[in-house]
Amino acid sequence: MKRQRRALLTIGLTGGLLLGTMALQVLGEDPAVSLWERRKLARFPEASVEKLLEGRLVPELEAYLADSFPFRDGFRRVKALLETQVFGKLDTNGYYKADGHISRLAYPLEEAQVALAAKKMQEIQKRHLGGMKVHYAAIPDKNYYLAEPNGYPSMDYGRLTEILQEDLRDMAPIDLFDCLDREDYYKTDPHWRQERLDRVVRRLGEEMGFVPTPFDRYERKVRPGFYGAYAGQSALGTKPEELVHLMGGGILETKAYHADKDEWTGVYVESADLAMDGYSYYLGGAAALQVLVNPAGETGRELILFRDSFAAPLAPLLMEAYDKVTLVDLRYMPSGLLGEHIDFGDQDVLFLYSTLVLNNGGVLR
Amino acid sequence: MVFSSIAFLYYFLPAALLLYWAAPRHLKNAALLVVSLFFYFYGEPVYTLLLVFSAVSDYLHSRYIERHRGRKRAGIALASSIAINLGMLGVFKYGGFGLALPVGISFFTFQTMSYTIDVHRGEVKAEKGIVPLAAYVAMFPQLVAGPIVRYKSIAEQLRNRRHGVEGIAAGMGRFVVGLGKKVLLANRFAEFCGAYRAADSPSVLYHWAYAVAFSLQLYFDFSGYSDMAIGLGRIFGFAFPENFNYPYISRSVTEFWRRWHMTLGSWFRDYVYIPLGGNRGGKPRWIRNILAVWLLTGLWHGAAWNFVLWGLYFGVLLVFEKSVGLGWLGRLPLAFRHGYVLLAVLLGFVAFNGEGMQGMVEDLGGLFGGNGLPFFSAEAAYQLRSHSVLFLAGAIGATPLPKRMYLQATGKGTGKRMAAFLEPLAMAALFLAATAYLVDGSFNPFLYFRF
Repeated sequence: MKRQRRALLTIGLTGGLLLGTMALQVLGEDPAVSLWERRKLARFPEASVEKLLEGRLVPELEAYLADSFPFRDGFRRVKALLETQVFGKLDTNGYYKADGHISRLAYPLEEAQVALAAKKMQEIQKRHLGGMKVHYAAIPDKNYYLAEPNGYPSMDYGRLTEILQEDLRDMAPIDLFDCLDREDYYKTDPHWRQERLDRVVRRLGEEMGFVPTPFDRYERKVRPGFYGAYAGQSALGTKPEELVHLMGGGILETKAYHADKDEWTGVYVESADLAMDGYSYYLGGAAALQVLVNPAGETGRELILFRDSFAAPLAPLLMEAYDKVTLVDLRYMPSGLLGEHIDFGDQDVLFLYSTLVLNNGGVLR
Repeated sequence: MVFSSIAFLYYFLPAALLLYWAAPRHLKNAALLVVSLFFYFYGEPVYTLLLVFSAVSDYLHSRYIERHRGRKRAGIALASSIAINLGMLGVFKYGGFGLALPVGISFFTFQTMSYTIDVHRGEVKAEKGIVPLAAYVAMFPQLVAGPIVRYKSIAEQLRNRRHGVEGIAAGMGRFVVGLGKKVLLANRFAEFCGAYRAADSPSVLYHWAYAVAFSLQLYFDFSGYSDMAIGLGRIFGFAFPENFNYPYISRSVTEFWRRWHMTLGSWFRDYVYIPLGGNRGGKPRWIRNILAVWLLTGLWHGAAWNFVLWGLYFGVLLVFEKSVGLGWLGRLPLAFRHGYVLLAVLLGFVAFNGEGMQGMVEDLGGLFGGNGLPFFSAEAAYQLRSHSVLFLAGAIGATPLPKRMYLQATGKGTGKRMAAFLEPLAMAALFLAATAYLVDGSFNPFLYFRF
C-alpha cells in the first residue's frame, strides 16, 4: 500500500510538472524580447515542408521552446546557482563574480583578431588621415583588474599592447591601463563609470594636447535602478546600481546629431531604449555616426573619434576641449563610406577601443 | 528527437503518454507505433521511410522464413534479410556517398537482424501482425541509441503487457535518473572536453584531464540514455535489458566489456563469435574469432581507421588476458588491477574520440608530452579547479556506492518511511534541475546518435 502511495505521488508530481508546464507554455504569451538577457527571443517558426525536410525547422522550434519556456529567467537563475553553489564551478556560461563585480571571461588573446583591428586602423589612416595628428588607445576591460587576482584566466594584455605598437607605428599610443581600476567600472556591466574618468581624461589631455575640464566643475546626477548587461546575462543575481551622469563643463549646451535617425538630441537621451540597456542613456546607445557640437565652444578644435560603446560617456567630457566631436563606430559603419560622411582636414583623431572589441577585431568593417 | 530536450520532455512525452493510455488495449501497439514514427520523423523526416521499409522487409522475410523453416528457401530468405540490413548500413554508413547517416541505423538494423536470425534458428516464432513487429522495430524509447533489444526478449510483452502504477512510477524514476546523468553530468563533461579542444595553452595535465573527462562523459551520456530508454520502456510496460553495470569498477578489460554496452557485446557473442566457432577449434582460430569480433565492433562505430584500431586494440588486450594475463592479473594487488583497466580504457577512449588518425595520434601523444608540451598550464589548472566537484561527482557516480548508500539509508525504519515521500520530491527536484539546464543550454545530442 505504501509503495503504491509512493508510486502515485511520483506519477502525480512528474505528470503534473509535464502537463502543467505544457499548458502554461501553450496558453501563456510569448515575450518578443528578454530584458534580462538583452536579446530578441526566438519566435514560433514558420513551418514549411521544405524547411522540415532540410532539417531547419526543428532547431528553430527547439530554440523557440527554450526561449518561451515558462519562468525562463527563474530557471536560468536556478541553473546559475546549481553551477556555482552546488557544482562549485568558478564561472557559469563564462560569467563570474569576484570582488562584488560580475564579469565575463575574455580569453585567450586572439592575436589574429587584434591584428585585424590594427590593419583596419592602418587602412583608414593611409586613406584619410595623412598629415593628421592620430592617436590610439586601448581601454582595458575589467578582467584586467579582476581576473588574475581572483584566479581567473584573462587575455595576454601585454601581448595585445605589443601587437598594436608593432602594427601602428605611425600613430601615437596612449596608455590607459594605469588610469583605471576595478571600481571605475560598473559592478553589473562591462562599461566604465563616467564620473570616474577624470584620470582617463587627464591622460588623454596630456597626450593629445588639450586642457581637460576639472571634474569638480561637474555636477553628479543619479539614476537609480540600473542593471548592467551582465546582471541578467549571467543570471548570477545582484542588486541594482546607480547610473551616474555628469552635467556642466559644456555638456548641457552640447547637442548630439544622430546621423542614422537624422535627429538632434542632448548628450543624455531619455528616449533611448533604457529598459533594454540603461547605459544607452549616454548618447542613445549604439549608432554608426554621431556628431557632438558645442555651440558655445571657443577652441576651434575638432576631434574624430573612432570608437565603441565605451566612448559614449567619455565624449561629452571632451566638449570644452573640442567644439565638435565626430563619433564613428566601425562596427555599424563600413570604413569605405567614411569619405562620404566626413570631411577630413585638420581634426585630431583618436582610435579608442576596448580590449574586448580589439580581441574580436574582425567586427570592425 | 532528443530525450533531453524541451520538445521531448514537455510536448512529445505527455502527448505520447496520453495517446497511449487513452488507446484501448488492442490498439496500444498501434498507438506506440504512431508516436514512435512521429518521434523519428521529427528528427529524420526523410529517413522515416527507411525505418518503415526495414520493418516491412523484416516482417515479410520472417514470415517467409517461418513458412519454409528447415528448407533451403528459409536460408536464402535469411541471407536476403541480412543482406538488406547490412546493405542499408553499407550504403549509409560506409558507402561514402555523402549521404547523412540516419540516426540510430546501427541499432535498428542490428535489432532486426537478430529477429530474422532468431526466427530462422527457431528460437522465436515470426510475428504474425505487422503492427506489433513495426512497433518493436520503431519503438521510440530504444530506437536511436539502444539498448539493443531482441525481439524474443519482448515478444510476449508485445502481445500482453501490464501497466501497473508501480511499474510506471519506477519507469519515471529511472528515466529521471538517466536525464540527470545526461544533463547534469555528461553535458558538463562535454563542456570540459570542448574547452580542452579550444585550449589556448595545451599541456600534458590538460590531456590527461580530458581523457578522464571524455571517459566519464561517454559513460554518463550513454548509460544515461540507456536508463531513460529502460525507464520509458517500463512506463509502456516493457522490460528492456540492462546495458551498463558500473564498468569502471572492473578488474580486467574482459570484465569491463561484460559491463559496458552489454547488449552490443552479447549481440556480437551470439550472432558472430559463437557462429564463427567461439573458443572451439584451437587457439589460432579462437584468436581469429576474437579479433574478428572486435574488428567488427570497431567498424560498427564508424568507417574510420581510429575505430578499427580501437576495436583491434581491445581485441588484442582481450586475447592477452584470456591466454596469459587473467591468471597473472589475478595475483596482483586490487589497486593495480583497477589502475590497469582504467589506463587501458582511458587510452582506448582517447583513440576512439580522436578526429581522424592524425587527431588520434596527437591526442595520444599529448598524454605523454608529445610535441614538447609543458606538463602544466594555467588554463588547465583553472578548468580543473572549476570542474573539480564535477570530476568528484562523476568518479563517485560511476561506482555502485551512491546506490548502495541510498538503499542502505532507505531500506528500513525512518529512512524507509521518509523515502516514501522524499523520493518523489527528489525526482521532481532532479527533473526541474535538468530543465533549468535545458532552458539555458544549447542543443546537446547524445554521443551514440552518431553510430
